[in-house]
Amino acid sequence: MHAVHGGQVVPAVYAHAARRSAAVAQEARVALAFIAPFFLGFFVFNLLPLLYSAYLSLVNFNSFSEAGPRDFIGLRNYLRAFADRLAMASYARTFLFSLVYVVGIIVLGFVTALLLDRRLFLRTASRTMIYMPYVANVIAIGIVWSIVLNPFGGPINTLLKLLGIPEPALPQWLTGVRSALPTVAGIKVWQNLAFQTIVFLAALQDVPRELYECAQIDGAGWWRRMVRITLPMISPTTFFLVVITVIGSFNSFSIVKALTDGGPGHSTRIITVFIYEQAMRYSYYSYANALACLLFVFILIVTLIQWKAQKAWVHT
Amino acid sequence: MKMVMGFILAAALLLPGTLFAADAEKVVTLYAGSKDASDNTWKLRNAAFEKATGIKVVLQMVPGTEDDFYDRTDVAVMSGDTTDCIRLTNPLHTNRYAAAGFLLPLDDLLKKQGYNAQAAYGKFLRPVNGRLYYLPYEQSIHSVYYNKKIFREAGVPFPKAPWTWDDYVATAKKLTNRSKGIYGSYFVLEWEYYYYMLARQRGVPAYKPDGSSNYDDPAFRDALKFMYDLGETYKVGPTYREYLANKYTWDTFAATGKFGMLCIGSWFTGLLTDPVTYPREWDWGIIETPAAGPNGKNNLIAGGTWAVLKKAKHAENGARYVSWVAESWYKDAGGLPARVNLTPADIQGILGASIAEKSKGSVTVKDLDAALLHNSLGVQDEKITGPKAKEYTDIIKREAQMYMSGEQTLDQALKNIKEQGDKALLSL
Repeated sequence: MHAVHGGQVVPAVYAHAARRSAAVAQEARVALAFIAPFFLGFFVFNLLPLLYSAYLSLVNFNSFSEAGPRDFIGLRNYLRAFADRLAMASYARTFLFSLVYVVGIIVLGFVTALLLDRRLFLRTASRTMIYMPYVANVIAIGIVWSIVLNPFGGPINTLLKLLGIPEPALPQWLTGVRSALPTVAGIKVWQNLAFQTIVFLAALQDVPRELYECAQIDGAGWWRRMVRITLPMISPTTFFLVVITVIGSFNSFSIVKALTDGGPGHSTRIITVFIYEQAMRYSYYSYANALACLLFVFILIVTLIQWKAQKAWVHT
Repeated sequence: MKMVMGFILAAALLLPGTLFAADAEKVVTLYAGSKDASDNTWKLRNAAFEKATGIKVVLQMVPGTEDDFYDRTDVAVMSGDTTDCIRLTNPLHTNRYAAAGFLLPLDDLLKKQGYNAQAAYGKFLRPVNGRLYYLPYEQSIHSVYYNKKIFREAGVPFPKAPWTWDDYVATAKKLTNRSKGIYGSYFVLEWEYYYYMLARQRGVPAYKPDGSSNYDDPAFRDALKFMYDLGETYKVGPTYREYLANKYTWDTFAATGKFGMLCIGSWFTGLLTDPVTYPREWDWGIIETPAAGPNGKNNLIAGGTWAVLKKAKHAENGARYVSWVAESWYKDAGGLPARVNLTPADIQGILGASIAEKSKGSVTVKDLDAALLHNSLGVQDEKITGPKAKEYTDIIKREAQMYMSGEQTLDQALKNIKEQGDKALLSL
């Protein structure tokens, strides 16, 4: 059997293959057209700035002057970062901040999802209200929490005083050098709890009920069902949330700026605030980019470790 | 038909552009911070300029605090933004912008306008490499402003000059009444120069001759300890933690009426004579700055400037605005102009018309003259303005605030300032 394809007589099977190949190519072109806007945006707003940041970290653009070509200085900015006690302290502070934030939000998110998964009074309203902090403006959050946590006459400390806690023992919240960092982390947990809660809720609702019924028949109590069924079944979701939460926590900036601006002293000067200051206050643009690239590498390493470790606890 | 439609379309697209091009010559753009846009004196001043020149003033808004203002304008200016004019509120910023080459020389532009800057500003002009890059709009002279109502309620007589910081503390103790939420003293603890104010009064330099930090001089120790003691030891002012917790700022004294005294520059008279932005139920007084001991009989001075940016789109309009606003700033904003072509009678007139009359009886010309101009004090620059001044003063501020909040001792703070200061100042 023969057919005409492209003005030539060819065996029918080849014509069919050629038409199919043309259709696939056409489909590919259409697909490219659909994803091109995303790739254009990703290229312009993500990849290009990333590459330019890496370039800036290798040149000497550390002064308040016109943007333009600079001398290449290799890894000097990176060596400066490792020798900078304040920079290293900021990285360490960021790690502590992330520890408090990630543990807090994952645990609280899970517990809140468990509560919202039950039949409780005003469940629908609760599911809506939990999103309010998530959509609130960060500056408004900063102002409100500064008032609420004012150690001198704010409502929280006033209540604690009424409960009998002596004044010297009252927490200093955002104004104490030891309490400021965990307080900011706590407020960030409150702000972002909704996302983790909703994702956990969806995962909990996906767990087959028959598993719980079988476990109950076998005499498993609540805790055993939690440990042997719930946690393993939602472990892929937990893994996903831990990964994105860790990445997000290392990039925290606006909440710290709104609440404490890195103070008091250095106590909440996490690495993003430090990078901002190096660039915007002192015009050390290349140095700030080197710090940012180091942060990127650090987050990448942490993510890879988590990725490798998932085999140990993520149920597939 | 197609041709007609094409013609109409082209006209519709081009006409607004040509209209705008015609208006573009009658525009001047300025960077303005959040508070500037809502400041009544800015509105009055710009309206008067528009009326006098026919040039429309367009504000380029820069949101955030004063620090944020310069963080953002720095980036905009570096990126080639074409805004015309910028206000540089203190010598730190003026020197930075001039040194970085972001300001347009004004000599030729002012000459074209027939404006003689030398005759108007004389000694207040600071040419850079022989060229004029900015015009000063004020000379800011420190003095102590006090809340007369708090003094009367405490039964304390108004302070009399000459006096010292010990007298200031003694007075503040009598005014402080925590049960009424009143403190006798207030300082803007987010401003770094207060942490070395006493040392500046004593004329102690911030840099050693070799360019390193001079922060191991005992004068800086005394200065920082004084600030700490006001809140923590004498308890006459808010502690640093209270300052942070209550979100106090540079205008809290004028806005709240809860503080007895504040030592600050003469630009502050603009707030105290602006009933629209800062409505008050209390009257105020003014007295010269206390002396910092026998070697510290100096007042602190500073001054802001206006400049035209190098990439200004309307450079001539910008120069016109700068020359106009530098001469007339004091009329709406209070304070003192930085001018040499004013006679003593002119100055007295300015003190009267711009400040005393607007104070609605709070102060007289005599009070202002004695506090600001004719007193026993010499002058010293308020700010540190040498090499890498911004980084140096930020180090001072950070370490001082860690000491103020109890995170480190005084000795640790001074040691850190010296070490970090040397590292910053002596590095390439």
